Amino acid sequence: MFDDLPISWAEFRRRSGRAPDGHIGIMGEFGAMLECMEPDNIRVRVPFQPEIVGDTAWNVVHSGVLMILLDSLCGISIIQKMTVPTPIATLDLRVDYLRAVPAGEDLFVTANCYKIGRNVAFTRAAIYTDDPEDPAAIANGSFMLGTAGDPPPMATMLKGQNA
Amino acid sequence: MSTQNTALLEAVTGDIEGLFKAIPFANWIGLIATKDSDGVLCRMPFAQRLIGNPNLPALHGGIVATFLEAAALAVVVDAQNNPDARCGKEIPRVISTTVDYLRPAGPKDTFARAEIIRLGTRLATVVSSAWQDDPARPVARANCHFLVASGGKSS
Repeated sequence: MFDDLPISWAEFRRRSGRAPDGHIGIMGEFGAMLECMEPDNIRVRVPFQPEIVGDTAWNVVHSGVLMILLDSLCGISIIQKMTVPTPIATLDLRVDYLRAVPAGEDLFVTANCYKIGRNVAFTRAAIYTDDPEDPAAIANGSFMLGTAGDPPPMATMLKGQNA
Repeated sequence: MSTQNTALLEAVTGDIEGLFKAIPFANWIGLIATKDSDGVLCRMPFAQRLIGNPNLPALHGGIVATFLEAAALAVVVDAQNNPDARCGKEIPRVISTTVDYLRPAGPKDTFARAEIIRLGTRLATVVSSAWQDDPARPVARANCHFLVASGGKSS
């Protein structure tokens, strides 16, 4: 399903069955590219664009952009690891901003789901630019399982593929 | 790196309505800040691109987090604008944000207010709350820390 990466977010949404009416979501608006989708190793690259600036004098990327990327990747890391497809919803998200992201640099986002319980899943995610050892932001997110709506189609597809 | 954002400062001095227009990403989302008798009220008009889960549909959790953090920023800047305020007067830089998601945020306008827990010479601690239909039934809350002045010792 993801053996020809990198792919655009629109293509990722299409393949994972989450693109009704061509909806690409905020990640698609960011121009995100899915670069790696392996167990314990999900990576997305986000090219810089002027709309994501938070501060024109300091010329740094807005903190909200980082939260959006981190929340998205945390969720995907859970869906990827599900053995029983189920809808999820963010319960809490804590983001630490370790350093500013200068405008103009590509962002890389990684995430890992380290526990899926019966009711709650726990995840970590990080954002860096040129050096994975020098993250700009890190996040811890917990997600409720079995919330309203349908299970993410991707979970069903990956389960079928892995079976 | 300058610790004074003159463009932002000019935009917000005495005019909190101009705050989000001076922040490109807040402007892109469409955030609006107004002042009323209860303080700063923030509004995030619904737009299709803010949807995170098209199945429900529900707003993206990161968008809601961004909105809560922006509302927290707005009350700090508003407090800094008070010439008598004895607090750090640099443009706030966010250190950490923790968001609790309480209810699904549907495809409609969202509102937020924030409350300063403590505003000192270096740090601001703020809680903010977002709702859609009823302020007493928030869809999410956040706790934010901002640096409002650099420390004397360099790291």
